[in-house]
Amino acid sequence: MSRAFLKLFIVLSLFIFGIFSCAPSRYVKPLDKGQHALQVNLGGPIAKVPGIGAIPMPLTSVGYGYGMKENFTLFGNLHTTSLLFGVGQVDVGAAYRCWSGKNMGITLQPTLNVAVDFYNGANRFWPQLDANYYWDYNELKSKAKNGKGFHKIRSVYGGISNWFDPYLIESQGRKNEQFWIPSLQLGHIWQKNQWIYQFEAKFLAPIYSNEDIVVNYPSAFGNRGALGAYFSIYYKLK
Amino acid sequence: MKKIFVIGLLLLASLTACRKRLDSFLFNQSELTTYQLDNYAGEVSIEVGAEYAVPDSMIHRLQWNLMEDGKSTQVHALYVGDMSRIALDTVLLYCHGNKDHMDFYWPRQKLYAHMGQLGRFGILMFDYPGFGLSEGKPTEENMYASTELALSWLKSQGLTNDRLVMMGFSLGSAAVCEVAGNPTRFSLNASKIILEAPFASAEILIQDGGLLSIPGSFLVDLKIDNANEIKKVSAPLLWIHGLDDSFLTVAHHGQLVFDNKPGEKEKELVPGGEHETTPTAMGYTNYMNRILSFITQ
Repeated sequence: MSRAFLKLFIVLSLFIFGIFSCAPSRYVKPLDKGQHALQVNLGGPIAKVPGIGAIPMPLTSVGYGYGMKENFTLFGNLHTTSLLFGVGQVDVGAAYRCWSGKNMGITLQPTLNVAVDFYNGANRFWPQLDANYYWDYNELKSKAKNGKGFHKIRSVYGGISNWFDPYLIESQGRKNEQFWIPSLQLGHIWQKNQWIYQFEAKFLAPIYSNEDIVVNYPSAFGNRGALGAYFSIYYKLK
Repeated sequence: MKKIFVIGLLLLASLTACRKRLDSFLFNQSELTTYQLDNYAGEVSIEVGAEYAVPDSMIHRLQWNLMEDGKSTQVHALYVGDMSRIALDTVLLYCHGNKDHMDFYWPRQKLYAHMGQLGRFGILMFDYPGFGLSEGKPTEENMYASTELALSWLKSQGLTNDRLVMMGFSLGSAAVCEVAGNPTRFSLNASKIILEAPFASAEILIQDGGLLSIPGSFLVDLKIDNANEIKKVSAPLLWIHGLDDSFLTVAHHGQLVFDNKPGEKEKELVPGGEHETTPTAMGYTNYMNRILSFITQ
């Protein structure tokens, strides 16, 4: 590859690829009824940056969630990296546990992603639907005499994330050939009292070629898709 | 709570107020202390052998003043050929790509100087502001302004539209399309244009970088839109593109420009050619002959 344009594309591609890959699945396990939570997310697609190596892009978002019902949580997130570009990007959605078994469940996360250019009003929206299965494989409870015991739950999950690009025509009248952009994710959740730590590995867009993106994305699928790594911290307000 | 809200608003305002733009990433320039040409030891666009040497007597180093925001900055250029024949013969104005400076593209200029025979055409190349010894910070606007300086100088040497051919490589395709699409704004208007590995538009660059239909304005202020500019171009076009160009692909870039071009047009799609290696993949003789036949037909 020519080095010409390299600088441009490293930044452009990471940012753009990051737009639909800048966050893990939200609230894989819905909050308890009446529970409020704050969250921060860090991470993005992994790319080989010359002179640095393969690193996940440090894309960030902050958000809030509220447990409407025992199996239904509403949430909203602000993507802080986009703000640097004068673009307000938020995702708002819900996490709904549609099935539950002993120490496990299946949740759906219908989400709407909205991005607006603060300077000229250009805007886009992308619907998203995630589905995840989780399993609480370990739970520990301890009740101390002073009442400051702990409650630990460790969970694993896996699922699919689906982005939909509803714009049929792209720049110069080109037909949009990527209406559906799926990703697969695997994650682990550590919960201790009010704190929840979530790590997620994502296989981004495995059905699409990564060869014309210029940036070298390591992928589990060869010349298709990319890998992403994400870390989230939730704090459940009392 | 009110304080948190106010602090949040201030944070939001401060983040968006110093809006980050990626325009500067389009320009991958390097500065120099002097042009070394054949003695340049750094990376070059293509390697050419001794058979493409150009005698010093044919190399003319030029400087022009560019007025920008009330300040005068110098733009450096290289003319290869007999300057006294500019008033009589055909000149190729070469608008180089976004990399480094003229030393990087010097082998290409030597190659073009040998089309037909050495000195058959005069070849003018210049560094956009911020590239090589040209002063200033590169922008889309001053790239066009420096192109106008080159055209203005050629006109002052006696060149006329019918003997001007413009060639743009990669980023340089923007300068060529801007001139050819808006002839009244420039001193000269090319009788023929050649685009090698052109890109379609800044927005397509962005949309190709990802999978979503993202407006270009989300990231850049660049207005470069060759795919639209070319619709206004009446001069015949030769489009050259490497089929293995994974950077500016044939399908998403060159083909769009070519399809939108009205009137006379020709194309040369080169098997095995990557973004910068089309002349090598084609073979220098074939590459030069293809351009020569387009210019002289």
